[in-house]
Amino acid sequence: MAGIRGINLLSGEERILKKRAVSLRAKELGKWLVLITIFYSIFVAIVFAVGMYLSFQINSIKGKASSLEEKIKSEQKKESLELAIKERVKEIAKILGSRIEYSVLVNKILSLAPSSDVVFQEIDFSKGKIKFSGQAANLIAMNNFLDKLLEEEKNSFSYIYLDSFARIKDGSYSFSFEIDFKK
Amino acid sequence: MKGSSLSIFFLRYEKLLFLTIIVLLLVMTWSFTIPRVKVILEGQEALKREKEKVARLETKIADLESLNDYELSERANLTLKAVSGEKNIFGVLLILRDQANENQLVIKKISVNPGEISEATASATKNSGEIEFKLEIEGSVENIKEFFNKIQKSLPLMSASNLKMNFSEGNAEIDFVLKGYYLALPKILGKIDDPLPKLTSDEEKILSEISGYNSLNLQTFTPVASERRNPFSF
Repeated sequence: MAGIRGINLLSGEERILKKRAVSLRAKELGKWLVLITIFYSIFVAIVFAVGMYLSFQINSIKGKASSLEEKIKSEQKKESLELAIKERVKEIAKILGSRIEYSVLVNKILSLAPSSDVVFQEIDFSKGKIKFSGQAANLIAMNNFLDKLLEEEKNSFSYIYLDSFARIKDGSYSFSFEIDFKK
Repeated sequence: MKGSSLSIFFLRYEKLLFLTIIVLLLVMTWSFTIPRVKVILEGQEALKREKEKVARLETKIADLESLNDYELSERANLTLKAVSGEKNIFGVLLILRDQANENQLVIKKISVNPGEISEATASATKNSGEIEFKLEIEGSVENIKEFFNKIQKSLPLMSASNLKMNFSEGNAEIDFVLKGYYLALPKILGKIDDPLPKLTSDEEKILSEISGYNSLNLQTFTPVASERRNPFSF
């Protein structure tokens, strides 16, 4: 079987024109391909360059950091002392803040009975509130003491409770109170 | 002749050529460009972190350099006198004895249950704590008040609690609990770029307050090289 063979019916001039058109289109296509390749290559080159610059910067700053770390390590004694001081001062602040000033409290309670007509027998701070007991020589002394206690309530006490009050054989009076200081 | 056949080839396979190039660019982008861009973005983050770290380290070095070795060592010893690194039973007992003698008080009874005192295991199990001393003391009321004042202004720091006073003819008998404190020395320093813990103004006040307290010189930190040197040593 014989193959179909194309018969060129175009005249010579037209053939040349078509060839030129084909060549122009091909050139344009080639131009685009080159442009795309160039742009992409530039983009890739930029990415590469930025990456290189960044890793150079990271390495140089890491070098700086490690030299600073070495410097800090050489000052480690100072750091450990400062840390120990800070921890201890915090603990000291807690201790100082939680201490009870017994000498002040005892003074305040004893100052309620300045004369020898009223004497204290016991002061007990061990059960949260303060308990104290004592003896008054007579009813007037007891009354004065009670007045003083109530007067002092405004400044110092948040709670006063008369636990017991009794007259004893020798004519004196025994008492016991429970009080609490204002916080 | 050759150019014209290449042009015909280009035109014949125009679409295929474009497709091939686009696929090629996509493959390159996927396998090289995107990972590289990711690396750059991560690098930027890493750079930012490193810069921040360097800034922290520089601040810390400046802080460390501003500290004076001698002053630091003095302060460290003061705080260690205030709160011992271990259970300081004898420090408390010595202060008690001295203050009782000074105030003419009679110590009738002292009892203490310090528990474990072996350094290694005690500090491993508990870093801080209290030792309780139960005491019975006798003397004049004024002297007892002075005794409490002095105890409150002594190092090692102590605090009294559960006080019970019995009065008889100007004298008083007291029983109370006295607590002594201990706090183990720090064993780890934390991260190297952690900021240096500075004392607040309140903490500075506390230090200056306790520097006026009476103290026993029982324990010291290992001396640190000092800027102050003895000019007469050769």
